[in-house]
Amino acid sequence: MAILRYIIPVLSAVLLTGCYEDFTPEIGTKPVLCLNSLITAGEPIELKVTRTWMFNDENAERNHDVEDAFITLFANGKVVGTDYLPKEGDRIRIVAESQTYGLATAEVLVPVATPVGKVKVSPTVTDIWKGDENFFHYEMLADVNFNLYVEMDVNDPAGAVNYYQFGYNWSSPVAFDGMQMFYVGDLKYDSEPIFKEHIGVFETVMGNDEDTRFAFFSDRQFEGKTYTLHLNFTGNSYHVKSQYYDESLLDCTMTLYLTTVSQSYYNWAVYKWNVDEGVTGDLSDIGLAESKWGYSNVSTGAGVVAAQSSSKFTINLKDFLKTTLNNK
Amino acid sequence: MRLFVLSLMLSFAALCQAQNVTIRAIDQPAAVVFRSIVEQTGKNFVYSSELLKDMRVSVDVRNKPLKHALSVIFKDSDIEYDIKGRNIILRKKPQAKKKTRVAAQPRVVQESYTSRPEMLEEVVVVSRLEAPAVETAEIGAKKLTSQEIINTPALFGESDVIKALQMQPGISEGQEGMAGMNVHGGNADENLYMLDNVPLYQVNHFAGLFSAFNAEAIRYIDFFKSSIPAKYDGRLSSYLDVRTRSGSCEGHHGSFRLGLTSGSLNIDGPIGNNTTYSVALRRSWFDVLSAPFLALVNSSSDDEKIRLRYAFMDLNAKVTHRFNNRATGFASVYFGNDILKTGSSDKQQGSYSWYDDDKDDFHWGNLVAQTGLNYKLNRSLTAEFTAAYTRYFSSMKHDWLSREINNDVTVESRSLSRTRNNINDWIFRADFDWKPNDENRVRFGGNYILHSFLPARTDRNYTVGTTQTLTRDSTWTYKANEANAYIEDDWRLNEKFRMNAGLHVSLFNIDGKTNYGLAPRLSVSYRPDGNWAIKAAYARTNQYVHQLSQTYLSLPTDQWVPVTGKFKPQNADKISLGAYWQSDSRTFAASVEGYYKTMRNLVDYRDEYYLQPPTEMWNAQLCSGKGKAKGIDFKIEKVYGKLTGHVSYSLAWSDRTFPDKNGGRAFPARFDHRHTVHILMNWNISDRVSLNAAWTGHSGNRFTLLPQVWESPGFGDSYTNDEVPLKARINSYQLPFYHRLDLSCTVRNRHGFWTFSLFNAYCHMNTVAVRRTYNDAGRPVFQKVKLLPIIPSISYTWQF
Repeated sequence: MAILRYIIPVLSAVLLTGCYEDFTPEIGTKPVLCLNSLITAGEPIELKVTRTWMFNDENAERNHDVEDAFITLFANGKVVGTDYLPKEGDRIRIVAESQTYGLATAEVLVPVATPVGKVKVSPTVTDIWKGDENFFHYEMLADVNFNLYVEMDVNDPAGAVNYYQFGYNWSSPVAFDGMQMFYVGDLKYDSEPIFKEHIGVFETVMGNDEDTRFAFFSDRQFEGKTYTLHLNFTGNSYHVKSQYYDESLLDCTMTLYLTTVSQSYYNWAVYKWNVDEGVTGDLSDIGLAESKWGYSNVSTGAGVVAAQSSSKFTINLKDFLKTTLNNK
Repeated sequence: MRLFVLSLMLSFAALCQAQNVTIRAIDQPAAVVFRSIVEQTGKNFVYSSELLKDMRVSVDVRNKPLKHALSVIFKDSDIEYDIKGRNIILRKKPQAKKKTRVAAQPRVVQESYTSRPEMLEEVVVVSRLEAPAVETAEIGAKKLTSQEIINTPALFGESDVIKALQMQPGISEGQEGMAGMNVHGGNADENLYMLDNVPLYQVNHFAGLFSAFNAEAIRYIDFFKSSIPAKYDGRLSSYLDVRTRSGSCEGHHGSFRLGLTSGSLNIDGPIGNNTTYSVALRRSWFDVLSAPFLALVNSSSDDEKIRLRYAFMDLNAKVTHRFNNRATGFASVYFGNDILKTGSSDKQQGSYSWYDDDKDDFHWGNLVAQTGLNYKLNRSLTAEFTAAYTRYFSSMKHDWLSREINNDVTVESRSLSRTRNNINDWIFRADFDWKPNDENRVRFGGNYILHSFLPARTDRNYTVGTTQTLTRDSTWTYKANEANAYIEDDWRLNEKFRMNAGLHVSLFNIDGKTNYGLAPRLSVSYRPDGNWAIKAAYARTNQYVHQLSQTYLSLPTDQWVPVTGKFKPQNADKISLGAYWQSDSRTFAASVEGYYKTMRNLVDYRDEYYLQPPTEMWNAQLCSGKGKAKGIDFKIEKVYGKLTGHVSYSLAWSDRTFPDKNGGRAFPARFDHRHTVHILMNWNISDRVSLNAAWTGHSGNRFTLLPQVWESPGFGDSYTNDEVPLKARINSYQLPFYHRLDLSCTVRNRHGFWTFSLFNAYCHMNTVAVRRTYNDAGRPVFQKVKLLPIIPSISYTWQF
């Protein structure tokens, strides 16, 4: 834990701060429409229309739905129905109008998914225990701990600024007790510097570049070229819980996702990182840094309309596990 | 026409406090001649306000002992003098029979002097170097002595140049309690701070709570905010030249001060007949005070340890040597730095054990080394040659180690990062002071500066197991060449008109591109009678470097960057008008100064700048715009007597327009204080006790209040789904009126003096921000954030 990130706010807010005083600022405000949507290629569009409210208005906080909004959906300039399934490359425009709260519009380009390029997997066994098949030992046949070092190529298409999000999940045989036998441990985000491209000097110095689980990045540093992600998964475990050995117990896979996201999605993620994890968010709360308002690509300044398209690559660990167990 | 010949030899004076003086004056007011002596010797004059009324002086001495010069000055008068320590006491010769009232500053009243109270009627201390405003052509100039700085109450009792200047009209303090300056609607980085004519980049300690200038080491400061001498350029708003003390020729002197937050030691004296030395050292005590507390905290846990140490120090050292009657040389060093070390370690032992160690080391500051030679080429022309090296540095290291041991399997991760931010300047300059005749004083010169900027470079080394990742950002060192030349003439046309006209030419070469700037300066004074003057001035200023700061604090992460890429040099035009009055006895003075300033090519972070990754460098995060400021400053001042001080009122407007901020609409500057009132009072109650009070009141700072919120879209990994603030106009909300009273009291004894001070004496908690939060009942509320309650402090200064 970098305690430095807490030093300035603590000094300022605790040692020097005398008190806080509740008040209601005399400032005129007018609620406006808010549009939120994450559009995924091939899936129906879901849109949430709400309104803004004065922060200290408790009634509005509980209910900020808009009853009289009229929505029009455009795809590539043409009006489409609610059953429209967006495709990669579609330009989606949403127009919402309310007699009470006015007009709101937003537009987003559904990105074209970038296929996952070459993937190289380098597993390293860190610990292994294998029981005697003739001796039933705590219902365990084997216990393997290993690290996975994955190099995954991103072949960035030229001619456009692209934004990405890396993600992963895994599948595992299920033991008789209902538990998964294979777990992926930690992805060491610090191993891949591009996951930190959004972090500036100030935040780095404050120690905010560590332990961050931020996996969005852009192609600004490799536009039109291939970039290799260095993904270090540590603490992965495979516990064979079965009374009998069967090769189906080795059916463990891990899936890597490369999601191409719209700029609005990327910007929203960077904004959230700044206010949730960045120290300037804390400083602006006590007047020592400029206020940060929420990122929005909606005409009213409220809401985010984003889009995404994914590609994936599955790593089959069966051979690795089999070899490992056989060599023991 | 009465001749005006006054060879003050200011540059000589700035270099050596030797008691030989050079003065040439014909039929000049005595006070004018005294100011020259004060400047050359550092001594104060103590005399009755009636004693010198209408007295005029003719004197022509060159490099003669002070006593000789004083003997010449008072040869045919009924005044006698007595040199007591730092004071020159003037009184009527013994036949005068008058009653005495003493109004001296703490250190100037001597026992032998007060033992003869029947000798004088009213005594005032003249330590002011500043010429009355009615006598000069300048607008908005201020000269402060060390004593005036010390007399201004300050936070934690730490006398501070910048906080003393904050009491002047037209200057906003910026963030409460901080040593910042926003002059006539300008930004904080638009002020050029110089130490003996050499620029300093980092002028603050402890995030801006204290300035880098040790008041004990200061002899006087020159400050210009409206009509700016042609010698200076490089910043848009103001110029502050801090002149440090030289050693005394009379003997070894010193003082030791111990306060709540810092201590200082100052010594000076002669080395042989022609050389003097002066050393001033100041260091904070925070680390010493916090060490026992930390030890107590750490002893309460075997596993978890906290590491925290902060300290600042500054050192001023100067050696002056007089080679002969024509040449004086000097060498000086200033070193100021801040150290902040933080960290923590924690561990757990057992079948699953882990160890975590986190260390941060911050180190930042300034180094200035310079040497110079003052040479008198002939009777009317003197030259000053200076070579200097100034370095601003900040180094921030982060070292994090994590070790997990599970069933004899060890996973170790280590992250090392280092960020450096440096500026290195080599400066060579020649300045000339030429008096071709009695009516003109021409100053001219030039300089060359080789800059080297490393804005901020971060190296990262991350290791997990045997896998290592090394990264270095793409920041590179910028080399820049800067050349300046200037000429100005202070021309007394006749008894009523005086004019100062000049031109500063600058070239700034970087990345193969050369920017140039022409900065004409003009100020004119019309003096209808002895007590009145009306002035007008015009000044253009240029700025080639700017400071990037993401917070309102002064932190080592702030970066000074040169003008590069698409950005053009900043420049400003300022027109000023002023009217000045002084009473017959010169005890009272009043002024009104108006200004209108336009600023172009200002640089600021664009809205949502943080969405642009740092790899895009600062060009992508910044935008360029313009600014406008106008206002009027009123000031009434009591200059001499037991009670001195001033009352000032400023009415001001300041706004900015950036195409990439606030939707291109103009918005008020953060420190757009419509109304500002300063009251500063120094009351010498008795020989032993003096009281200083400073009251400040101004319209609240501008603030970007975000009153409305909207529902979070709720996507984006693991982030929370709280409400999101809606964009609002920048700085559209004005915080409540700010006011504060600071008091200090000085009590002298035989060996030194105690200083007691109260910051924010009536404990008015001023609002510095508004935040959105949830109160104890869980209700969403707006809260005023209030900083800095009443803060008492005490210090003792031992003089020897």
